[in-house]
Amino acid sequence: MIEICNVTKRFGKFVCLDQVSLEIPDGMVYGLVGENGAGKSTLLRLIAGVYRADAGEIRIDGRSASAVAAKEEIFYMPDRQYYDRNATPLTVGNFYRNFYAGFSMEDYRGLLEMFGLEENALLDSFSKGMKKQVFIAAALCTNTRYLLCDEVFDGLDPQIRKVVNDLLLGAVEGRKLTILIVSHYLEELNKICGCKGYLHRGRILTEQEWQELL
Amino acid sequence: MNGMKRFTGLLREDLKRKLGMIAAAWYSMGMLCLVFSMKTTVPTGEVRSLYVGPGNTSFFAVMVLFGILMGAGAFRFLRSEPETDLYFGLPFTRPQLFVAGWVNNLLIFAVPLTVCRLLFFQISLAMGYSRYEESILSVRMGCLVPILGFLFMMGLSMLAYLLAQNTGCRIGLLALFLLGPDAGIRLIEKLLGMMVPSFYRSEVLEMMKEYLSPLSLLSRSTGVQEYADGSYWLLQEHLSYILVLAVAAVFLSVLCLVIFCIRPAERTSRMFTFRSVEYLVRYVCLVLATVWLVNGVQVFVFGGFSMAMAGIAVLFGVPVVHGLLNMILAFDARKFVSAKGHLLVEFCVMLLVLGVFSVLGSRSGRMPAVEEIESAAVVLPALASGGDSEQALSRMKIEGDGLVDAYAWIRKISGEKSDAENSHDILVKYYLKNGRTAYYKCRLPVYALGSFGDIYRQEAYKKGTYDILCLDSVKYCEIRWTNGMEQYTLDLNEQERQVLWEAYCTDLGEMTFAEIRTKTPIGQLTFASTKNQGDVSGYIYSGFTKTLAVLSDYGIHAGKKICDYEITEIVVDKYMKQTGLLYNVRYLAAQDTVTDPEKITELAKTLFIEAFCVDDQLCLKDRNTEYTVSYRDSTGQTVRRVKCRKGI
Repeated sequence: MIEICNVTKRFGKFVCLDQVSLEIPDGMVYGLVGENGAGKSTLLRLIAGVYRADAGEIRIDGRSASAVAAKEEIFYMPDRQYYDRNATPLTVGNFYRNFYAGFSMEDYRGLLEMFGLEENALLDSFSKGMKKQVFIAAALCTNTRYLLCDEVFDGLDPQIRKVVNDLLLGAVEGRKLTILIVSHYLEELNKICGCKGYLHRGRILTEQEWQELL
Repeated sequence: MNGMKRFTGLLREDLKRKLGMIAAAWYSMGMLCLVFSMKTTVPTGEVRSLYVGPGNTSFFAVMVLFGILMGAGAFRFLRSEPETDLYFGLPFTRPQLFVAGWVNNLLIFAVPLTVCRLLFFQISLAMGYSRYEESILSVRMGCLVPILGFLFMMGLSMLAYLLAQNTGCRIGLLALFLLGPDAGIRLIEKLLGMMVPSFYRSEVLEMMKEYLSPLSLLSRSTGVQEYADGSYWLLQEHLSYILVLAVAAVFLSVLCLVIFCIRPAERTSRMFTFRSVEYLVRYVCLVLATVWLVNGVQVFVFGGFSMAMAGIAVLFGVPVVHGLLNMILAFDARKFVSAKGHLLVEFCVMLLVLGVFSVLGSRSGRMPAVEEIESAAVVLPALASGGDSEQALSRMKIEGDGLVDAYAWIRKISGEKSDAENSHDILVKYYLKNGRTAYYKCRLPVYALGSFGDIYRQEAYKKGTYDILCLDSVKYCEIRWTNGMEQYTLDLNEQERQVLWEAYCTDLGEMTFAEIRTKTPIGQLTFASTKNQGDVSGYIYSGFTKTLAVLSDYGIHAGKKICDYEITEIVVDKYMKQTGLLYNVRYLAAQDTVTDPEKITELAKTLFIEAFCVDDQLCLKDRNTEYTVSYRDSTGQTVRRVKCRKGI
C-alpha cells in the first residue's frame, strides 16, 4: 500500500503540494487528475523517491519511499523518458535488467514484438508514441509491485491505448500490480481506474468538490 | 537480485557513459609514460627518476585537467530533469549513486596511471634506461601523489558542480576555490604590510599560503619546483604536504557526498543550490574585492597607510561591489540597486575585517622582549652581494652577546626617524624561546648605515649571509674564476681547492662593512658542483690578499684591473631620465667614443665591471652613464667588450 501522510512540497515560495494525504490500496489502478501545475507529477516524483518532501511522510508497504527496499518495488515512468543517444529497445531492456531482479527479457522481447518494434533500431528514429511503447514494455517487464505512470497515454494512438489498457489491467488482475496513473486523458482513466483522486492547487479534493470546480 | 550485483550494474552503466574519458585517460597516460620512461636523452646531471616522479609537469597538468573535467562530469544526470528522474528513480540510495560515480572516476584515472607507470618502468629497467633502486620511490610516489591530487581536484570541481546551478556559476565557484585562498592571504599580507610598518611577514600566513591554497598545496605535494630545477625529489620534504593533500581529498569527498545527499533534485531559479552558499560567496567576494580596493587606493598616499583613504575605499567600494554582486548573482543588470539589507551588513563586515587586520598587524609587527628571544637573524637586503634575504633569514642565528648587541641596535634604529628615500630596510627574524618565530621590519637611515658594521662583523651574520662560507665540502666541485674580462676554470685537486676555499673564507671573515661600502669587487669565484648540487659564488675584493696570493700561485693575476688591459676604445652612453605622474622614461641623450690612449688610461682607472656593481646602493655608482670598454684579451688576438660603471 502507498500511504501519503500530510506531504508538503515547496519550490521556493510556491507551495506545490499542501499537506496532501492519500492512500492507494494494493492491486488497483488509481488515477490522479488535475489541471496543469496542480502538483501531480511532483507527487509521483515524491513517491518514486526522486524529490524529497518538505514535510510529511510517504510510505510504501510501511517503508520510507527513499529506502532501497521500497524503491525495488516501484517502477517510475516519467512523462519524458531519458535514453542514451545510441540507445535501442534492446539496450533499454538490458539497462533495466541490471537493476530490477524480476525483469523478464523474454516478456520484454515479446511485448516489443507485439508492438511491432524493431529491437535493434535506434530509439531516436522512433516516433513519440513508439518510444512510449518501449518504456511501457520495460515498465511491465520489471515485475515490480507498483507502477507510477506520468502521462502514459500521451502520444499513443487509440488502438495502442486500448492494447496498453488491456496490458495494465491484465497485470493488475494477474499479479496484483498497483498502478498510479497521472493523466489528462479522462476517458482512458475512466476505463481502467478503480479509483480516482483530484488534485487542485496542491490539495486533494473530493469528487463533489471536483465536480463543483468543473 | 542482491545489492552488490545491482551496484555492479550501476558501475557498468556509469562506465559506459564515460567511455570518452576512459579512452582519453589511457591515451594520455600511455603516451606520457612512454615518452618519459623511454627518454633516451636525459640531460647531464639529471636523473631519470625526475621524469617518472610526481613532479613531472606533464603529469601534473593531466592530473589537474582530469580532476576538473571528471569532477564536473561525475553527476551529469543532474543536468536535465529526465536524466534525474531516471537515476533517482532507480532502486539506489543517493550515497550509492555518489559512490558509483566517485569510484568510477577514481578507477578511470588511477588504473591507467598505475598500469602505464609500472609497465613502462619495467620495460625501462629491462632496456637498461633506469636503475631499480634509483627510480622505484619516484615511480611509486608518481602513482600515489597524482592520484591524491586528482581526488583533491575532482572534489573541488564536484563541489562547485553540486553547489552551483549553471555552468557560469560553476566555473566561477571553481575559480574561487582554486584562487580565492591564495588571493585572500596575499591581500591580507599586503594590507598588514601597509598598515603596520614593522610588519614583514607572518609564519602563520606563510603556512596558510602553502597549505590552504589548492594550487600551492598541489605543486608542493608533487614537487614541480624540483622538477623544474632538476634537483632530487626527497620524500621528507613533501610528506607533510602529501598528508594534508590526502586529508583534504578525503574531506572534500565526504563533503561532496553529504551535499549530494541533501541537495534537492529539482533545479532552482537561483544561481546556487543553497541560499547559504550564495551568502558565503557574496561575503567572500565582497571582502576580497574591498580589501583589494583598500590596498589599491593607498597608492595615492605614496608610501605608508592612510586610514582616511581606507575609509573612502570602504565607503565607495562596498556599494559598488554590492551592486556588481547583485547583478552577477541574479544575472540581471536591473538588480544593481537591491538587497539593501545586505548593504548595511556588508559595511559592518568590512569594518570588522579592517579592525581585525589592524589588531593582527599590530600583534605581528610587535618586537618581542629580549628575554623571550633565543636567537635572531638580521638582514640588510640592500647588501645584494649577500644573496637572497629570505635564505639568509632562515640560515642565520645570532646568539649570546652578539644577540644582545643586535637587539639593542635594532631597538635603537627603530626609534630613528627616516624616510623611504634616505633609508634601507632591515629585516629581523627572532627565534623565540617558546619555539615560535617572529618577524620584524624597520628602517635604517643612510646616515646611520655605518652602525651596521657591528652586526656585519659577527661570524654568525657572515655565515648566514654568504653561501660560500657554508660549503660542506669541495670534494665534488670545480672552481671557476672571472674578473669580468677573462675567466678560467682552475685545474686543482681536492687539497688545492680546500686551500683556496679556506683562504677565501678567511678573507671574507676579515672583511669589514666599511670595505663593502667603499670597494667594488674585482672578481668572482664560483664553486660549481659536479654532482648537480648547485653552484656557490663569492666576490673577490682588492683586500682579499690571501685569496689573491693563492690564485697567483696557480698563475692567475686576479688583481689585474681594467686599466691593465690593452683597451682600444671606450664608448660612453649618457642617459637622461624624464619622469612625470604617469611616465618614467630613460633615453639615450649623448654618446661619445674615447679613442685617445691617454684619456682611455685615465678613464679606465675609474671604471668598474658592471656585473660586479651589485652593492651600488651602498657603494654609489653613476647609474646614468654606461661605459662599453673594448679591449684585447690576454692572447692579444681578440677584441672583447665589457660593460662598466663609474663610481660617484
